[in-house]
Amino acid sequence: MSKESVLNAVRGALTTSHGAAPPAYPVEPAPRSAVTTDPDALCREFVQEFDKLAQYEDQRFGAAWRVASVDEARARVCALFAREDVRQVCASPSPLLDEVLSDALRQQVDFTLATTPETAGANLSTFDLGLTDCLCLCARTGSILASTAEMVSRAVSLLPPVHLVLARVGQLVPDIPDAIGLIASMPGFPDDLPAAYTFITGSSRTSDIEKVLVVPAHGPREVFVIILP
Amino acid sequence: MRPEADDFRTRTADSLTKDGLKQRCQTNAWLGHTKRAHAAAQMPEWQQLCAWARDVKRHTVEHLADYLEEFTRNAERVGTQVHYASTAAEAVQQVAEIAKQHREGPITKGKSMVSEELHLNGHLEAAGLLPLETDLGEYIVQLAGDRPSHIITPVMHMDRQQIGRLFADKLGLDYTDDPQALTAVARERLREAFLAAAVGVTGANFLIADTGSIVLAENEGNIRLCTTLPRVHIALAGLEKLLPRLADLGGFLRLLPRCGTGQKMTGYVSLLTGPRRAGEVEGPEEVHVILLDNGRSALLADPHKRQILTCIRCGACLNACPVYRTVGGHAYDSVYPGPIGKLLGPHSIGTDHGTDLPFGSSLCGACTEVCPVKIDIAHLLLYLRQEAVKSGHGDFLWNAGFSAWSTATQYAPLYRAGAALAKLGRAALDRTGGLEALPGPLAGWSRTRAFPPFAKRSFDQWWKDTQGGQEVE
Repeated sequence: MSKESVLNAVRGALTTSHGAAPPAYPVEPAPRSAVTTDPDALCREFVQEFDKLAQYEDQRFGAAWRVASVDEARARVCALFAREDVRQVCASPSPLLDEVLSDALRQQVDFTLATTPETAGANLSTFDLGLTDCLCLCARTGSILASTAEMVSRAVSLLPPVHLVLARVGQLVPDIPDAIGLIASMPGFPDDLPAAYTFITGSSRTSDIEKVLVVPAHGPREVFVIILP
Repeated sequence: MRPEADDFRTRTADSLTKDGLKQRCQTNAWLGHTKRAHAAAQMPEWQQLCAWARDVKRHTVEHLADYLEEFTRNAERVGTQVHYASTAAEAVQQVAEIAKQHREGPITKGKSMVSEELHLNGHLEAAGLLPLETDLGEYIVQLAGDRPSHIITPVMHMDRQQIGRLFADKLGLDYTDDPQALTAVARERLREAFLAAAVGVTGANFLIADTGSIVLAENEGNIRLCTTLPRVHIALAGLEKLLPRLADLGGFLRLLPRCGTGQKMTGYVSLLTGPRRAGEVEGPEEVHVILLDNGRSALLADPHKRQILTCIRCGACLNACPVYRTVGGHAYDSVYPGPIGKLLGPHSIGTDHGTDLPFGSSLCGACTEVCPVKIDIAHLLLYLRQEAVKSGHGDFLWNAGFSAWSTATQYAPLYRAGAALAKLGRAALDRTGGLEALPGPLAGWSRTRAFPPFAKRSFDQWWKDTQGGQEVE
């Protein structure tokens, strides 16, 4: 059997040694310089970093906005739907979505929840905008962390050309290792991890041809983040 | 003896004659090199973080069998099917057997260097299957019937005009060399394939032992599509891809994107743990991980070379290497070009005739300096050279020259006698300002450079005259 023969080969190979004891697993976590945990500072850093990712020469590929109220968030969503000529919206259900997406907003567009096989996977490629919440936002890198926990669709943030994310200020973390730490602190870890976590950092892009940046590659052209109190 | 017609030196000379290739490699690899340097400079803890990453990976490699078993146990617990393959042929057969059960639609492929190692596309096509590369660079390479020349940016060797002509020829389109338009064509064609595919094949950047997860980093979103839409996901990974704990991933995700592309984070990083859960409406129903040995356990058997398996395939050493930047990836005739390819090649990982690769280096050490897991590439190249010479791979003149040099440098009178001999030739060389071509078997050395005139005075004499350089003349 291949498994046994490969493992035996590995074990056999490891019986030779330099004489020195094999290195132990590092006791200390990965070194890092001090980071702020002040939510306002993290939010400013996230928006700044996100805007850097979303701008290239005279093109814009999205934006991050911090809003002061649910009403302001609704106004942003409404303006975005109008500006991008959004007609068909698919969304992953979440409490934050229920709070922000008023009936008026839902009626402004053709609104679908991505909860059945008919509104998931490949069937999402005809929608104009995908709407999700997230697990956290990483300030240092401008990244969004989403997961498939609570039935959140993977394709909603991938197939439509525009991705809109709703988050709260309290969801900001300093950097990627903090987001990983958050995953590790979830109930059920490590035995019951959701099938997929995805870090999303900017729009889908490539620079394979002469290192020229092209947006989009296979995923969304634009990513927007609205950060509520 | 090295085969004369197909050695690294000959292929290097060929590469240098190719129109514009040297310039393209210089520009692109240098850009990658400077972006990495900039990203690293922004992190004051960079060196400590690299040392930590080295320690984690060396520990992992030293306990590889245990971590492989831990990964397998945890992956199987969440429903992932784990397969082991001793050889490339075995891995190909495993992929083909899975894919044959899901024949509807193409096989969409994300970028994977292990799949290049397996020559997977050719084998799947021969089995009547339809593999389709979906990373833009790899899509271009596949259309051209070519091979990647860089492990991160596969078509570094082509310019936009060549790619434009290729698309016009192969896809029957009007010629354009606009990267935006060319990318849009690939997006449209491949979107159709994604929606029809039943099997997605990817590599793996990391495998996490304590959770049984697969980690994949990318910018385009094609890997997310490969792992979201098809019913089956197959991940190909070398044995060395393991990290002990999910907690380690944070540190490595701060290194890999910065080293590979100079980004703080790649566009997408997916952490995948098993097939879709009960009640979920998307995601693969079957997840397979194929763990490939293919020469890796042989590398593991030598305690000095073991650290080669700590490589995270970031590509930084390629961009840093003055040889790579001059000749490009194809001259190596190996799946893994550049400094890391020179370490893997002699073990038949990525090439069948890589024993002369360790000799194709100036040993400047730029690769060692940029490596995020601090692999001592330059010294390993020396080690592999010694090994090659001992097993009879060095050529006669090379060996004879170096044993003479070695003897001379160990006996001062002999060295001085040699220096005196050089003086005799000096007068002749001074008249001509150096030699255009050396005679006989030494001609190879002067093929690409003139033999310089000897210095007027030996170093030994200069040292005596200036009291070890302390007295300025």
